[in-house]
Amino acid sequence: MNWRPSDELGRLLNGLADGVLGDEEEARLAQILRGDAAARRHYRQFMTLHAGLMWDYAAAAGAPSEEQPDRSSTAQPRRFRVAAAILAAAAVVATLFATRDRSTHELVTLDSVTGAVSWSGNAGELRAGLQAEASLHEGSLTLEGDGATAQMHFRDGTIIGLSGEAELAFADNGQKRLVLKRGTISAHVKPQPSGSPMRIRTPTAEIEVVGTVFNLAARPADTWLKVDEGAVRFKRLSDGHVIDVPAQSTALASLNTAQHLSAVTTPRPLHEWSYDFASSIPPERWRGVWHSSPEGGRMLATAYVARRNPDGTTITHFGVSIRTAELNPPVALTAREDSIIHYRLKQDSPAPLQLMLLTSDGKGGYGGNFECTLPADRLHPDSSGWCTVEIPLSQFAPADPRPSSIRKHPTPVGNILTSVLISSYRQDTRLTVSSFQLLAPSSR
Amino acid sequence: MPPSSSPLPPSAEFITLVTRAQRTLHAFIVSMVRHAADADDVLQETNIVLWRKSAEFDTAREFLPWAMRVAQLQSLAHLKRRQRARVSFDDELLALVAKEAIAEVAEADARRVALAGCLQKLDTEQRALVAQRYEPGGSVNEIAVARGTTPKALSEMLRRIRHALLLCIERSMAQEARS
Repeated sequence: MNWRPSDELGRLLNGLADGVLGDEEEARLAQILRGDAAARRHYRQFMTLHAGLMWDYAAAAGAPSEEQPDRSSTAQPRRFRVAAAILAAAAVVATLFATRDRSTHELVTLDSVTGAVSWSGNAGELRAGLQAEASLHEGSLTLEGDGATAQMHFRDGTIIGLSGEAELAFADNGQKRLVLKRGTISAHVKPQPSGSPMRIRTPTAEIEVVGTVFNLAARPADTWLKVDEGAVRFKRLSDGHVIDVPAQSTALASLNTAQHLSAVTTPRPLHEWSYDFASSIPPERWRGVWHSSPEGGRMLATAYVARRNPDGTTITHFGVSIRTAELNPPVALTAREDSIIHYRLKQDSPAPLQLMLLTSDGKGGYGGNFECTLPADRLHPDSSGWCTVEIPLSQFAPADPRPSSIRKHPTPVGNILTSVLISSYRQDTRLTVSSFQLLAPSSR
Repeated sequence: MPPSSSPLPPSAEFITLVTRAQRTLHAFIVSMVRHAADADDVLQETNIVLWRKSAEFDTAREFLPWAMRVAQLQSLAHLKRRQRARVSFDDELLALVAKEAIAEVAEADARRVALAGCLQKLDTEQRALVAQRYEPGGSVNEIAVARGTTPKALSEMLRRIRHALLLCIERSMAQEARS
């Protein structure tokens, strides 16, 4: 028993456990394990320790810590997963007994996931904390929180991307049928079988697609459609009025039938834009709560689900979002190499800030999420507590650390900013934003 | 319309065996698929297969090795779907790891008991860090930001804690064997 792991093996195992091992290092670890039985034994012991800590972290190690402000909400011991796993198995068995075969076929696979994304099946099954590459059958996908995104593909290669708070039900019995209950999707639809176009219904509209690229946003009182390629048949449910929306066009179907339903040419994306909360009331679905004050209006950060844990508990952040597609008329912002994000903001107590860019590529597909942390010492409030921050685009890094994702989405440059989100992480510092600007200095 | 030949639900004894095996299966699956989120998925898939195969289980045999072989197949199927993960840890290496783990399964419980005692020997700060890192969703990057340090420095702190725990578990097990 005198064998001791080398420093290299210890370092590699530690990196593996913390998810920071690159492909080459993982290959090196495999090489060591292949040729050394003692190293393999150490690997098993290390992974047993790692798994044991994952399972019972709270019960075994859980001294309460002041550094975990939301600990009470997340400190469910992993042993609850025993029940969860058994219940999940029971739910699937129940499904086998109770549902028809077609509903258990895997219809879609997730390509990427950020934040709290869960799926529920029609027989009551629930899968929370979904990760990329999960396969799903007929059911509903739910995204919680402004930072959440998901991209999935059907077997025929049709890609659907969701971002922000959203709920999408999907089924395919030879014809794809989707219900976008709320939120925004982008879609690259492969040519569909003759006579079976893909149908998407929202609370206020229905669209029929035979193969095209488009964006669709379902809001409480209207549905916004932007077609990039091909054409989409767009029906307003309040009066049954139907129009064809061609490429590079946008249409809005609202509950108000007095509004003319027509397709208009999509405006070009902007690389400079500003929004002043002092003089404008933001759309209802932007994260934050707007309130007026003697100095003008401002947006106070509100809680949103940043992540959902496998045991169902949530990690909450406090933030303010800018989603220009929600404006009426909608605006598209594009990121350039020289872009600068500018905020005027204040906090009650100094704390680091997180900035997130949720992006789509030029054709409306998923473009990656990017984040940047602003340390508290970079904020320099004036005597009234307000400060301005300017963050060049170069300071944003991909939020998904997987090498495959970084290769696909290395930079936001050239992408459309579907949402710009600022948060004070888990701490409610009463982050307040009075204005936002996207700047592009070299175009002046 | 229900399937024509519906499987019988598993017996209460079988459910007890599956329930008791969860931690061991989870640890085994983690060593196969190496990522926590994947391990959660594979454990659920394994439970489903065990459930479906409950009628095939011969109660005269040991349950854990049988269940671990099911978990091994589910892990390999999962990794096959994730092509990237198979590049370095190929089927041959994973088969070797699985075979040796199944042969040593009796040791797993003892190691977990020892771990509970060893965690109590960490100081408060170390325990807090372990709890923070291993709470569901806990990430090195996020904790590093919250603590005002770098992910690399934080990972190094965790490496020292894990090393100390492994040594403590070895000592506890040796002591147990002597007594």
